Amino acid sequence: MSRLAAFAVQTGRGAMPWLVALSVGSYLLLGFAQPASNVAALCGRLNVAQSVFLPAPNLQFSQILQAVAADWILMVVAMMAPLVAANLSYVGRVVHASQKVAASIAFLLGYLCVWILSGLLLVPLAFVLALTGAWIDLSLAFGVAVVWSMSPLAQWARNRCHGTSRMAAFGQEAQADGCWFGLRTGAACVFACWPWMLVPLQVETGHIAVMVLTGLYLFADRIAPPAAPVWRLPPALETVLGVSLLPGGRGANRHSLRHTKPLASTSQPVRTRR
Amino acid sequence: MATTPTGRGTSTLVGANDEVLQVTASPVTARVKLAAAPAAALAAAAPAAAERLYLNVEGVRGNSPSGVLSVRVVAPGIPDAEINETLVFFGLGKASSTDGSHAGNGLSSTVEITDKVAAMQARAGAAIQELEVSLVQPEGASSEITVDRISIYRLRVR
Repeated sequence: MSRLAAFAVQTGRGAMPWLVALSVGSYLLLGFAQPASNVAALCGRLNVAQSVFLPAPNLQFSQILQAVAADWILMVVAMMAPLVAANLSYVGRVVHASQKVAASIAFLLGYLCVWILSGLLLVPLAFVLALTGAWIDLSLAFGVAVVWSMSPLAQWARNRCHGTSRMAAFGQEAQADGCWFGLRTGAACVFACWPWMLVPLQVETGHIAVMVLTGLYLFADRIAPPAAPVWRLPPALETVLGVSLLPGGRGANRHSLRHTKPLASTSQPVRTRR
Repeated sequence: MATTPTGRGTSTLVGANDEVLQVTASPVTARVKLAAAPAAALAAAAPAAAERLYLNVEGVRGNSPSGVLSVRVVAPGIPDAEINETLVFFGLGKASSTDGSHAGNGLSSTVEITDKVAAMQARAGAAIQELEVSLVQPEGASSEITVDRISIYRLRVR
């Protein structure tokens, strides 16, 4: 079974259905709320030069900031929610049942917190990029994103997205560890994905569609296995094509769900001693 | 109760230690508190269902290509009842590298302890609240091995 097929099966398991629902809900909110409120009013207009200064002249500056913040948060939730399925599954597995919900929420809050803060840099950067003009801004953003995906630095960050963190099983320690794990994963995720977030912000027509495509690309990128940080073709291609594209790769890269272990990274067979 | 579905049943965490262990040639001990008495849970199992207990040594990392850990499990206050196991971790160094295919998460190993814990329970005549787990590198320590966590899972087989 190819990696993509394996993950297609897993979409019906664990937290994935909830994360997909959260993602779809955020996409819909971004799409349908646009005509009625400030939410998403800015996102698709960033490549119109005038909107850089005042997208809606009758709005106060604080209202504009609120709208941008709401847009950014919805955009992050929509695009990133499915990417944390494996991390969230890990949290649910290693804490006691009584702490599963609280630790998962703590993880998500930590993760989201880093992404929200990253908006303080990325949204102004998108505004600046928009000033270069239509198509130039999009080409620039897309080119930087593709080259970044191929770079050793991005692979270094993706490896850390796959990393786990020791977590306490009980009490407030489990929640604190969940939050810390979320912060760590969020920081790695921002580092791995940041240029891709600029791409949808440069598109006015079909903005949501580009967001969906970028989100799918990042998901395919994320489910590629960890690897040595070297220059390489984007791992998303490896996921889609089902072959190893690493230098010195060995062709078909397939695995079976039968090899999935019930507990984290179990490398040894279960040994019985009675 | 939240559980983790597996191919053969559902596993539930019932206990874990509190801190990362640095294992050398000298034994290091961790206390694993149990959230619910495992033997009581076993006794309460439906006749058609079977419950098993597993000791999980998680996140084992080290610089050596491979590592060996001796594990000794006792229940405090219950003499003459212990579990002894030797765990071998091949590929330890590679699995510990953050640039490798394990993303630096290390290795884990699982040992079934159902019958031994049941025997401890029978000897004690009461529910076991805590287990004491000692780890040591039996062949001497060429380099330190760290263990993220020692946990106990209960698997209810369908």
